[in-house]
Amino acid sequence: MTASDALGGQRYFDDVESGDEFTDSWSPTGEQVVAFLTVSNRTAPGPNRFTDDEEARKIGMTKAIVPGQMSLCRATDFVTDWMGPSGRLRSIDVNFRRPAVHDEPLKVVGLITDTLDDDGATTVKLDVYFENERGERPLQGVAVVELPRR
Amino acid sequence: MNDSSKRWYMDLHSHSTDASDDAGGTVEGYAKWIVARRKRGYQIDGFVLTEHRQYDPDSDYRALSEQYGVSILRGAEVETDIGHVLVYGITPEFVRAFDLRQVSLPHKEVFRVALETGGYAVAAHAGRPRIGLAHYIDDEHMTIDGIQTVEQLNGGSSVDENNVGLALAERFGLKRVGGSDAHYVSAIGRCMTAFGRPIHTVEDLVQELLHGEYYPVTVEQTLEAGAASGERHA
Repeated sequence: MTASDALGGQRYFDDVESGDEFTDSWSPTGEQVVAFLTVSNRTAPGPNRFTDDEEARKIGMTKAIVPGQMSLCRATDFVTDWMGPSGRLRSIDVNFRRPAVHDEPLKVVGLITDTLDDDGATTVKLDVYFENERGERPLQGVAVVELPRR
Repeated sequence: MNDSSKRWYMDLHSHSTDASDDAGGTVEGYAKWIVARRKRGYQIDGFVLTEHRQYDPDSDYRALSEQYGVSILRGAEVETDIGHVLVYGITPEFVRAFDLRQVSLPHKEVFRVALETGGYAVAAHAGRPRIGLAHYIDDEHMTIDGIQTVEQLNGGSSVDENNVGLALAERFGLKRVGGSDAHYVSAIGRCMTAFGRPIHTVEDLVQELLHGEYYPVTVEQTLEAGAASGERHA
């Protein structure tokens, strides 16, 4: 199942179980990074590690990198697309273990690791991560989502 | 060692929210996930918590282990002058010998004292730049003295990095293990070590690491092994 399958629909607690996986893809471009930096008011003057390969290489990166906040936004977007409009994202907590770089194809993965029904409060725990073609996971995290019953 | 039905699959490298501040997986979450994976045909018998730079002798996961039918053992991941090292069978003598919070412990001492006090040490994620053994052998000209085993297959390393670990192991004739390096629930068991005997205690683990025959596997390989030989966890 891809996250886009859930777009426009509603995910229900009754329909999910531990082990369910949903995926999407993301290949952040330089233009998207510049747009993100602009709208988030984080544009630094001149070339920098987020916009310029040479600047990124100066600090040991292979090429320009994707800002962590942008990756977090993509992961959050991925989860909220999946849960649907009546879901509630209670928390999302990520860490960045490897750099994500421009134009690198990333598989975005959500895996349900637990479902909890605590006196009618129905929540789902998910692992969320990005995986690149080398098998590295630049972003890993946990989201907790409240889903309605049918 | 061709009869896969006799393998015992242990993840030798994991971190939890109980003691690693960069982890998001709980110990119970790991156990639940393993039960869920078994239902899908994967074989995961247990895991070792190797929290960063510490060892709490009072932590006890026996109740969880019994509840979920999963071996849950404890070790530590310490930091040395040849990168990170996994230690199993940690004794009070070992803890007294080192300040585990330090990030550049003398590796020869760590390997030696672990062995002399009834434990066993393994060079973690051997192919990983800066924190794996290969980097220190190839770039820093350290020696392999005292090191018998490397974590060649690490779930947090890239394919290329694991291949570097494999080349190192083959070059020096080192034994190889696998571990997920899980920090999040769904990563537990991603890479493991296949043993020839059941491992229920850390003493069992140390004995197997010392004298047994073992090799690293991915979780997908256990699926193939289960299909070929009948699943242990129905």
